[in-house]
Amino acid sequence: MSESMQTLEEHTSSDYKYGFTSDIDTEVFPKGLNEDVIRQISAKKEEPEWLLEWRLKAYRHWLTMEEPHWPNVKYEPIDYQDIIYYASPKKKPKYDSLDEVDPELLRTFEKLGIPLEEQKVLAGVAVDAVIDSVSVTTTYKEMLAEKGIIFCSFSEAVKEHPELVKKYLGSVVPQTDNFFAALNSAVFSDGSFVYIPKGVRCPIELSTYFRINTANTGQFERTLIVAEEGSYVSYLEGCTAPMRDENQLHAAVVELIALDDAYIKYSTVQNWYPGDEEGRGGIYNFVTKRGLCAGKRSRISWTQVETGSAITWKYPSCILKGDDSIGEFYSVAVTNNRQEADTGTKMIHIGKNTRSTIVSKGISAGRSHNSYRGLVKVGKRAENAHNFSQCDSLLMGDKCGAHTFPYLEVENNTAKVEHEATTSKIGEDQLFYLQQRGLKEEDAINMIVNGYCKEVFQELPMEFAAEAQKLLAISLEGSVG
Amino acid sequence: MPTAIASEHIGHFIELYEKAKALSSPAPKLAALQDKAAAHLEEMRFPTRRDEDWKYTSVRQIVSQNWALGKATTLSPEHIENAAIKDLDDIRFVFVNGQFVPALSTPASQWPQGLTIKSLADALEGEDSEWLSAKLEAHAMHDNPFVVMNTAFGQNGWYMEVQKGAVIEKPVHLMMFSTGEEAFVQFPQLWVHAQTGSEFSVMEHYLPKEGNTPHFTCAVSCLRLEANAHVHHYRLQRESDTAFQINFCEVEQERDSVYSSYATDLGGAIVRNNQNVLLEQSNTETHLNGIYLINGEQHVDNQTFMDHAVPHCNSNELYKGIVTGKARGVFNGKVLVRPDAQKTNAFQQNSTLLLSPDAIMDAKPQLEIFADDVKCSHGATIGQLDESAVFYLRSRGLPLREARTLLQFAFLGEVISNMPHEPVRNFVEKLVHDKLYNH
Repeated sequence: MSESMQTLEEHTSSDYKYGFTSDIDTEVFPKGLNEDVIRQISAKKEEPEWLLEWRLKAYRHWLTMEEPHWPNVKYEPIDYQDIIYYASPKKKPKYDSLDEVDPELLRTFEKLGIPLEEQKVLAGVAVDAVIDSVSVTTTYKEMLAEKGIIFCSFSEAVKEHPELVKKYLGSVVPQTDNFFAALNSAVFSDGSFVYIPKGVRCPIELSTYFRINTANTGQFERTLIVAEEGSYVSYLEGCTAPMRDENQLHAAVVELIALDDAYIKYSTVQNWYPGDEEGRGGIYNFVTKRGLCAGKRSRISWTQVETGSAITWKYPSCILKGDDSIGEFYSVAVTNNRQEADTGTKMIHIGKNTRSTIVSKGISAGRSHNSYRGLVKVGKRAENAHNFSQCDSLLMGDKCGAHTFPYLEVENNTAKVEHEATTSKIGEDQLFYLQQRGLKEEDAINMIVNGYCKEVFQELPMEFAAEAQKLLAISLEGSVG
Repeated sequence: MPTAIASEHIGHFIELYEKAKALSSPAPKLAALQDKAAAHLEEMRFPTRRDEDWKYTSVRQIVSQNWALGKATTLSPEHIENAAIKDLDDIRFVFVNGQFVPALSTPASQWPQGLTIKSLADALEGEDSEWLSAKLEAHAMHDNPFVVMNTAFGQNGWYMEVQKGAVIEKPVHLMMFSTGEEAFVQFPQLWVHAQTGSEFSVMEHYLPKEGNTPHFTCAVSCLRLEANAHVHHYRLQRESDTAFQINFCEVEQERDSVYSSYATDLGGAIVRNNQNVLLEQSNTETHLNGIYLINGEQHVDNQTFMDHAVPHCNSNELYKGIVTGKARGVFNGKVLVRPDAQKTNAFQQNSTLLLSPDAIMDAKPQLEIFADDVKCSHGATIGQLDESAVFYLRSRGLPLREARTLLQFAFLGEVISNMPHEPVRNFVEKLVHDKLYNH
């Protein structure tokens, strides 16, 4: 026991491997937030009047709201006037080929293990790399354009496809939805926009790498994905951030809209800086993600692997409005040292014959706390709704915590709702078995943990699954309970 | 604004308290505690649905009424006999409208050896009342206004002490009758102190009232199990559909003790039960069983809280219910495993059948775990009868209605079969059966 505890500590004390800062000229606004800052952001991005009004409405509403404190996390109060709300690489370079890209930037990507050219060739992944707030480079655009797929930065979409943006922006997460969504709506700097036309199956996996780069910059991304009738898209979001001492706020909003027969698959690997062993530094990740299954037989699937951030506060949700629509949520959340995660999902069944599946795997180590918080709501008219939820927690170490807060609200007597949750540690018999077969303790643990998470990993696209496994191994290096 | 309304409601109860004070004067220690509780109550507000713990249950309808205290009255011995549980050899305590009626109860001379029963006031004045007064102090300053209220008003509290090693075969049966045309509020209080190695069974039995005037029961029970004590605790609530009830039950367990509760809710308009168990020492066992069978516009809210504060304890929860009509069921089960409470085994299961289009069920099973070497799980299901089972029974010749009722009966039967006293089991089975068939 004590030996395995030691290994656990070795494992869990491994340093953050993506901690570096890249030196790129950035233009930053002074700290603080007021209407002028919002006007400036809007002007900087040459936005139309309606969007500015939209932002201001959000800001005015935000002023009347209070920061929520119901999540099961503790953190120092955030001073919203001590945040830089806009930072962008000084001149927006226009590239025809990768050679023209700032070599510093390319090195950054290399350190992250995602050299663009390799990705292009090997993975067939179009990468819309976002450094801080402005989209710097977009690849594979032409190929996608041929099929009518729009995949661009948010600001570009505002300029080139205002009618689409205007129609769908805020339709799933209104500006007034919650404190952080309102803040995001007021100050969002950039993000991604995806539009898949009717009947088109997106041939490649779309991917965005977010990086938070300038010290003291809160990053307020906004992602909007619209899948028209019968279309399909798989979208990947992966995050790493450099090591830093001050906490950084990240309040993103992601909106998905699936029309009749459309299928959106949204995968996330989140590995932001979690803070040091004492919990100093690290990202505050307060994200609003929500998908609307608007059409019949539409389907939205969220898969997330959360290993980073000091505080995670995130509930990717599905509103199952269309009849026969399907919502899915697969999650692995790993917390270590002093990390705190309060994550889960909401499945709101409104249409008939809607189905949802929730598989949540929490792993807590060190002194961290990991909470699952989920709501399954079956509305009065949601005939034959079916939900299955499974929430498992794995505890590694005797100082951490695992918590489960499921809410089941059923107002229809044809619904079938099943929820089960377990909490346990890695069985010593399992470890013993693997070790007597010749595996090192560490490998044995990795194998068990990977097996435990397999249900979720197999939902990830292949390249992502490999990265996720690597991440998991890194964040739990040496640990057992 | 809601706060203003809520504090106005508190005001009604404060007025009522002053009226009650003018009528009776309890012994000094109790009076001091009650004044303290009343003073605390005055500063409180009633919970609203904005409070997380009361998210699914609104007490507005209960606290907004102008309640009077129950008037002392009596019933005929035949009435009591008719309402008794057949074949149950019990020690009877009869209450009518919240007032104790000695003439209808088992006389003190027939109380068994090894069981000391005192009124709350007497127990508090006596020696060895440390636990009792400490708990009452805590209740007077409790953050739940209904507990504070019960402490302020509770004059008919009973304190039962089971002597070391005593095995009390007969269950103590508290029969709560209500009668008359007046709406009233009552504040029952039950204290059980089971000393080392003792065995004891107690039943709180709330019977239906004749007539349709509402009444409100705000009850508190508090049980302490010393080492190796075994206690069975029944709560059978079959009040009329106009009755309101808010229960708060607190249990403390010392090493090797076994506590089992059997809560049955069949009646009531709005019923809220809080069952808290604190495991203070190792190697204890706790079994919480619950049934709810509700229809019409009934609302039953069960909240359980298992506090695993020390290592090597086992707890097991099984709550099953059937919700039909426009009724609403709520289950909130929380299991807390504190740091260092290693080797904890905690299981919880909540299953509900939702059988009508307007019925609602809200379930919130919660695990909060701070120790790693534990086995904890919970399951919650909300669904319907298995149609293939219904088909099977029909293929055997049972009419549809019969088949469905039989399956419902079997569904609840799993919990009923855990009740150790056969006469009680038969009695509850009959009640469930009658309610199922009279739907």
